[in-house]
Amino acid sequence: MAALELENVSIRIGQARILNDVSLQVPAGSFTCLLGPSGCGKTTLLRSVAGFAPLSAGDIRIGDRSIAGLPPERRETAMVFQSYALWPHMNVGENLAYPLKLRGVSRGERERRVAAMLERLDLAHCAKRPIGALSGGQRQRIALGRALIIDPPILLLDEPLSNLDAAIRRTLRTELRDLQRRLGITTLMVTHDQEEALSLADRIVLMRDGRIIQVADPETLYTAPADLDTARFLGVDNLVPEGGATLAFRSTQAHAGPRALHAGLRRQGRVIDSTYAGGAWRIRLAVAELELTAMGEASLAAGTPAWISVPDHALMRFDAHRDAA
Amino acid sequence: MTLLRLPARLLGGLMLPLLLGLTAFVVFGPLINLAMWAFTEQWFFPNRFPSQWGFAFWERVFRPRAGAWEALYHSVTVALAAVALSLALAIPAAYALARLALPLRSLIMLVFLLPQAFPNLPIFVNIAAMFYGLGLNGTLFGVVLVHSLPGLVYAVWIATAAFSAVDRSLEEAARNLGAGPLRTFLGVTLPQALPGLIAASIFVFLDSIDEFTGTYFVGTPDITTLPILMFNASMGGNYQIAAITALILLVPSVGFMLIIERFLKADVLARIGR
Ligand SMILES: Nc1ncnc2c1ncn2[C@@H]1O[C@H](COP(=O)(O)OP(=O)(O)O)[C@@H](O)[C@H]1O
Ligand SMILES: [Mg+2]
Repeated sequence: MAALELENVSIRIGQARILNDVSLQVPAGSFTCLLGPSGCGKTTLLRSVAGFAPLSAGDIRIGDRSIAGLPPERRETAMVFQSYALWPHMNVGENLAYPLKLRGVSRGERERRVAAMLERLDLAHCAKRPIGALSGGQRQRIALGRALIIDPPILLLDEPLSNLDAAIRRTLRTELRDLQRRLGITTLMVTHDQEEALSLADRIVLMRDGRIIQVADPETLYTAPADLDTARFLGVDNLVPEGGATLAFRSTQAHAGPRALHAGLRRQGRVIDSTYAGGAWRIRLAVAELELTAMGEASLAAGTPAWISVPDHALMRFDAHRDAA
Repeated sequence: MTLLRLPARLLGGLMLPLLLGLTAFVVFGPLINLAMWAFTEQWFFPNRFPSQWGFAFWERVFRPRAGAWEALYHSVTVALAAVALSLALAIPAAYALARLALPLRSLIMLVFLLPQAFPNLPIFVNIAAMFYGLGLNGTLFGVVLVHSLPGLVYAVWIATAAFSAVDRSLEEAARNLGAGPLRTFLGVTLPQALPGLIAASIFVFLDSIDEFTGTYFVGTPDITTLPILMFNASMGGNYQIAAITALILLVPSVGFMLIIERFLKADVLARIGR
């Protein structure tokens, strides 16, 4: 069953069409990622669910109830903002308690639930701290805790990890995934980072120019992108025209060496250069008028002839007419 | 080279204290003169200093019938009321302005400032004529209204800046987690804009405390504030009384700022350190 459903949603601001006829079903308990290049309308879609971006057309439902006409405070969607939006005039505990206070939860109960949430976030020692005294990772966790403390049916996350440095991001990514699994909360997360989407989501919604291009599980999206632009966005960096179609593959899945391997695609060319990529060499080849890149076990001297071999399963075929559509 | 540089550096080293001293003299010179007058009993023209010092005039100023206490009371009540009135009007106006798109906002604020560019004497004369018809001349309320006029302009300008600086995602977070628009305003927006609003109230208070022209046209002779008292004393050649009144004028100003600062410390300084 879809916990959250968008039906033919369009959003226009002035002349600009930010979202075009977007329809989407978010299954209950799923971790769904909105993935796409910056400016494609991901945040706008998320904000439309929260009630901050009025629809020009379409409907949004939670369960079978339409929420399109409700003000944000009555939608029961909990959002974690990209900037975290923690209230600086309240300390950590007060930030967590405020949503409960708004719901008329008694003081004792508030204190109990705030303490339990801080415990779960492993931040029990921070209850009395001002927001300014927290690190980025701690702020992120408090923002998440503040959203979760109301037991919302839907959790909305706008690039929750993008303001953090790489090490913290990986830790928090795992934490976020575990927490979502344990609570079983329907989650819709925005990200422009494909690695993040692939590792976190069980469903990825790929967007471009205010439209949904593809909805798929991470593996399907990675191995069978809907079109060439999507493939490129997902790191497919080699294109070989063949007849009326284009064959595409990732250099990480192609082999370069002095001899050809058994493979679906084999081409001979000359080495342009070799750069070490940690564990293997990234080798650029000039093949006829094309430039292709593949990985090799050893560095190859520039100008020497070499073969590029791509296994069948790494090849993606895109028909020209479908790509143009 | 070094020989040449030495005098230059010496000059540079002397320059700063010299400039500082000069600035201090320009700023504080008149104040020192004023302070001397306040404790003078006799001071004849060519002398650089008073020939006789004393507190005799202080006693005269604070004599119950001299009117200083009443003027002080008027000044403070009028200033507090002007602060309350200006802010009560400025807060909703500024909030609405801060939410407008930028070019329109700037335009409205500029228009708002326009009357201030006018010489204010004819304005006050007109207001006095209007107030006369409304029976507001010579009332405290009339004086409060006149003081709120420039006060409102300050307050709207400063409060608009304060509200514009509030991060909208803070308000959205509150809405998202269950607060209605009013609750969001009171619980998030207002506390965030508080330093600016306090700055605005200090401006309005200080402006009202030494407002003269409007009070003169609308208030006198029924309402005497400290500046009016001072004016009357000066016109009567009584520099001691004028000087003492000026010093008294400092009391509510400094007091108001101290109270506000004490009140600010815990809350706002914590936030600035963010
Ligand atoms: N309030 C707005 N007014 C005008 N254009 C906007 C507004 N909000 C977003 N946009 C435009 O809509 C597009 C999508 O924005 P956004 O949803 O923030 O993209 P994303 O989150 O995918 O980076 C962008 O081109 C942006 O410039
Ligand atoms: Mg965004």
